[in-house]
Amino acid sequence: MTIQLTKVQLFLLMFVMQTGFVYTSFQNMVIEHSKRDATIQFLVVAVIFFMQLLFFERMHKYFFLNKFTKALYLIYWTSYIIVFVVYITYVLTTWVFPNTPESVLIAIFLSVCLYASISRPETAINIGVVLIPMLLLFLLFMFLTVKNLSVTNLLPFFYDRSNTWFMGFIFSTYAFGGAEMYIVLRKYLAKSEKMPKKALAIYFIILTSFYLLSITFTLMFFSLEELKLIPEPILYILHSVEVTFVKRLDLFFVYIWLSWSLVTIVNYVLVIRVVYFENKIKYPKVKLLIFFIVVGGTANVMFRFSILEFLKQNLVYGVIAFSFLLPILIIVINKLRGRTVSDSVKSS
Amino acid sequence: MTQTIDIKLEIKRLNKQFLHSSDFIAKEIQLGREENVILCYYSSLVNKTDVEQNLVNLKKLSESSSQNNQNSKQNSNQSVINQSEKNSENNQDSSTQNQQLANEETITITTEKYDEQKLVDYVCNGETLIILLQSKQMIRLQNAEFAHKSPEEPENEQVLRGSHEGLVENLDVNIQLIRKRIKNNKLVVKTIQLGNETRTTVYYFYVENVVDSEALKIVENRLNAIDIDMLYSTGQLEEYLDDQVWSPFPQLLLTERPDRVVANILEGKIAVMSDLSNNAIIGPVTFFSFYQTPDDFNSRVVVGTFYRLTRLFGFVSAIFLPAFYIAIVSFHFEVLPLELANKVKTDINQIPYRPLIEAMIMEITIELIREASVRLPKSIGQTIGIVGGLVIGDAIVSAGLVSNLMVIVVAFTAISSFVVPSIELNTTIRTLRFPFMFLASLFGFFGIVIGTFLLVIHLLNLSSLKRPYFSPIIPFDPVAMRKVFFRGPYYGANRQARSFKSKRNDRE
Repeated sequence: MTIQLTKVQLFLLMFVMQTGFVYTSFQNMVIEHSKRDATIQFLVVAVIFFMQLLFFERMHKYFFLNKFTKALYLIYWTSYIIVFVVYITYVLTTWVFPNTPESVLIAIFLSVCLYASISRPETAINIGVVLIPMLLLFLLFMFLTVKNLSVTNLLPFFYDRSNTWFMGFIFSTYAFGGAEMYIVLRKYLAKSEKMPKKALAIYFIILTSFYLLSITFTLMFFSLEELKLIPEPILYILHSVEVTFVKRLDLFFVYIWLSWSLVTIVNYVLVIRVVYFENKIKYPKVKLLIFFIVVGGTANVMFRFSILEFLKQNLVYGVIAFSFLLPILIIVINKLRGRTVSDSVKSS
Repeated sequence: MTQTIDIKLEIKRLNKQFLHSSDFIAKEIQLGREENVILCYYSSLVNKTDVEQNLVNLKKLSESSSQNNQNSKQNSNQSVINQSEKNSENNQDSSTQNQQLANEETITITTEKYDEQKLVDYVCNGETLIILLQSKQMIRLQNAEFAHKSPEEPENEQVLRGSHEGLVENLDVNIQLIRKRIKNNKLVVKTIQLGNETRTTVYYFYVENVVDSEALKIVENRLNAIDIDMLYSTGQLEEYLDDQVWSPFPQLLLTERPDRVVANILEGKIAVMSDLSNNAIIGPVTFFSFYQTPDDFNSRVVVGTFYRLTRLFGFVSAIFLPAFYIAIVSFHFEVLPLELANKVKTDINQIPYRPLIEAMIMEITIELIREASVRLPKSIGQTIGIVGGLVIGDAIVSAGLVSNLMVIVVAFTAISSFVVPSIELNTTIRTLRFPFMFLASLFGFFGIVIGTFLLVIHLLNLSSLKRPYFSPIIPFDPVAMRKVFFRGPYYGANRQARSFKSKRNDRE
């Protein structure tokens, strides 16, 4: 399966994959450790991410996956999707369906993802566009809470450092998980498309602002003590928005977030398809069906609050390894060996 | 004598070939002083007065021609008419004579070698044939008069401002209606005959320098690939041209308006028509093409934009409103403001059925009323509307089968579905409500989200003549998207609007 991406499509895929999993929940993990320094720590990690993007753009011709690294990434992405499915199910059972068996919920939303995944690749590539108006709505209603925000909550910096202050940097990397997608998908960029630094900078600014907004709003809306009790601060902020025509606005945002999450899963599966179905394989639809059965079954087995908490605390190390370190390692090794993507294509 | 025998035998053969059909006429007539010929035609397809008048003229012409021939003592083999094929000089003469012969501008006359199979085709096509057995020639008088209505405004696509003409079931009139709006030789019309038995004439229009050439190729390939015995409806033709027949969404735009055809072919699309119906099939189109009407472009910029947005809102409310109501009443009462929630609760507490059943009663009633009013004559149709809307609507609430709010929701939904300027999309939307209602009754908002996701994926998978159906939203084109929602002023456009970028195809 081969695809051709435009610049906009590449960044759209990146944006969805980098925000879909963690946007509503990563804030309290960062703030728990870094307290009021969360914004600073986040910005530091953001700058590292930007530098990494520039590095990827410069060195992308040296990045290709061999059988071993492909297998590693397959395991990582599949685990990532499984954790995410568990998390979606947890949010849905908490907020909307306390009495519905989780296996039913998992089966329903994974069936939809399966339908999108067995459709033509263009569908998965472009489906993120439908999220744009929803995200704008999301932001608009976030801003309706401005009157409830307390700006002084943001300060002072470097005042109340805990022993685990450094962990703030670690958990901030959650926001940039999926950065490896840039270099994985870079070779599918249409040849007519150029990637200027300005485009990378714009993407970086949009993504960072989007996350920074969520962190600052969380800090300004809740006290540090309150945050310990709130797993999805963004949904709680939206819960507090009051409009005259409807109550419980948060319910709508749970569903917007659900759509966002489904698109994210579809996009991750797209990348898996692109990487593993690069050469024509037999029965791709059956293999995708098996993949989704494995994901759904595993997620169903792992659906325990304690397991979810453990995964949330530890998955970040996988993010650091697979989004930041491994791509750099692959590039450095290939650069030293002098092997490029075109060499790998010829040899295969 | 031999000639007469031959003619009688040929007439007998022709009658046999046309299976002694009662409207088939084959008779011997005398043309000029020397030659007896056979005249044949379908009396149901030609105007008999025209045939008689043309024969009289033809005889006069033949006589004067033979007199001239005698006077000039030229070779008698040069018959009155058939010289046109052999001699270029005579060809010119013949055409001049033909011009005189034809009293009406619509009649064209050609002469060609006698061919039995071709004769059948021509006669079936409504032509009058004169067979000259001696010289093995036949004269074609193309004066077919197929029944068709006058180009009145189509009832299905009425507009407030703009042209009030409509297409008809006639090739020449339709071409005239289009050519009158595009007076340019770049407007191309091509015809093809389809159906081994019906020999239906299908024709398609495009503008040479703006047409989407790949889409044109697809249309031509698909038309050429049609191999059926009987083509008798536009629906058949549409299915052969569709990319995905099983989708509920129409992938080609059907219109009866010549101005709409013109606007579309000027954007690079192709319009396919036939003598079967007064509908033009236009492609490639996008989902949003179905929401545009000539009124948008004939009214003020702001007004046109407003109504276009209203129509798009109509799409959302027509599909989702009943489902939304069911989801709220069944699962998510808490989203309603307290005052409204109390009223709704009091209202639906009196209803013995689940919200889905309540909604289904009303929706099916509305569908029955709609279907009945379409099938019945206009005068009775109005009565059905009153009986259905007022009597049943009021009685059903009084009987306690349906709540007042449900009636409001269903009425609003019905109105929303009728704002779509395309009948095909209208029926699609009306059908799509039902699965959403079921999903909402099973899972509430979650069901609606899942259904919407499936709908969006389906729309993304669709294409019209291999062009993306959901363009310009997907693939995302912000500039073109603005035009979908907002009708800009004409002076702003400095080049001809195009439906699709030349290199953009569905695989992008």
